[in-house]
Amino acid sequence: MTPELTKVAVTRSDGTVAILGFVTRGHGSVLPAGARWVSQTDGIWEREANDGNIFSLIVAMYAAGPQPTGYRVVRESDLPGDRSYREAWRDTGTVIDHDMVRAREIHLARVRVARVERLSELDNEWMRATGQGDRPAADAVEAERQRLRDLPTTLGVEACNTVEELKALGLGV
Amino acid sequence: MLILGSTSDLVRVVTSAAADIEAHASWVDNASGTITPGRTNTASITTATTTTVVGSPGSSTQRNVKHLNLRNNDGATSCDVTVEHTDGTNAETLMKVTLLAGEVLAFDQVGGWTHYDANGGIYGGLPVATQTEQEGGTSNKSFVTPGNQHQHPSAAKCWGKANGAGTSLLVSYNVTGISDTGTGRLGVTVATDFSSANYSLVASIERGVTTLAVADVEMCGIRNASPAAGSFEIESIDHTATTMVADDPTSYFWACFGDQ
Repeated sequence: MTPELTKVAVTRSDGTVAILGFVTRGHGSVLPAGARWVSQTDGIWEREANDGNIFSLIVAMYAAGPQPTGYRVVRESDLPGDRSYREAWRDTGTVIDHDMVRAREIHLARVRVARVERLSELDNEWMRATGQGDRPAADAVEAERQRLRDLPTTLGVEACNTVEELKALGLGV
Repeated sequence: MLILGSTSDLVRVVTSAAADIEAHASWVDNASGTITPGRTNTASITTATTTTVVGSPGSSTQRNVKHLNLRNNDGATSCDVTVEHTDGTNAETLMKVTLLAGEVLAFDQVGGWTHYDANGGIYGGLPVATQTEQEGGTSNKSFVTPGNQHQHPSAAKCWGKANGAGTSLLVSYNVTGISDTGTGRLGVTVATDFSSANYSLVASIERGVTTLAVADVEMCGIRNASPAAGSFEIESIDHTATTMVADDPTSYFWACFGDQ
């Protein structure tokens, strides 16, 4: 059988939001707290997604890490369809939206990771050009290297107000 | 089978108490090749007495007792029942048991005797393994039922498959919840806590692609410090040229073994 879930947005002390899948109909050999057998022979149980049951699951799920500070039952439609900036999700109380400050930080981190490999390639190109005495080529490589170093401030991340704009901006590498 | 071979042979029951013993016998007579089945339902035996439950066959006839059933139909009084075969001279005790209220002594056509308890359970059978015996995993003197099989150390206490976003539980056993905790992170809660955070957790992922480019090689691990008696977190990590980044796989898989 396919288990059935109720989604719960759980805000944690670090500001992040986890999406808890509370199992309302499951399969097993033991009856969870708050559940009742639909068919004990088949091992199928069900339970209500009430506050007591949800709270108990939250305590068990988030025993480690940032502690829960609040929760609410959400619908699938309340969740962003795009997970590109998942770590920037925040619960506004009505929908799960993006914290743009955090989204920009995520984007810049990706820029820095993406440029590392290119910078390494440029280092090799600069060494080759310098070794061959090709000053113009070396200067061109250095200009590109500087462009990459300046990317976090020149790419235009701060001007983006939505994750769609961030995605459209690209990484610039 | 039980043969009554003469007109003096019979089967009788000696009861020890004023209970309510109901006796049924099914038999087949062979009279020179002529086969005649028959049965005897004896009136309830309500005193301490000796009662014939299978009468003697006619002359030139062998009576083959196929089935003999003795039930203590009394609500409370137990009774010793002694089953005897006599040829008119020598009486042999075939079986003697104490029937508690509601219990049955049955004789079958292959000569076997079975003593049933009031719930139909068989006396003298192997007992159901206890949780301790299951967890010990060494006893050969008890049997396993579907309800306690999972307590054996070799049995998975929890398993499942979730989608890569951690938002759908596709199949599971003893899982009460999952958590999309972030990109490449799946939390799972177990229906019954383990005895401690020291249990064996086997996890895996289905990668998003088949190519082996550096950025496509996802690996799976258990998040540091996440295993607790009732929960754990799985991570999916992607390689890049210089560092790892969290990345959603196509699916997460897990199975847990340990003491609960």
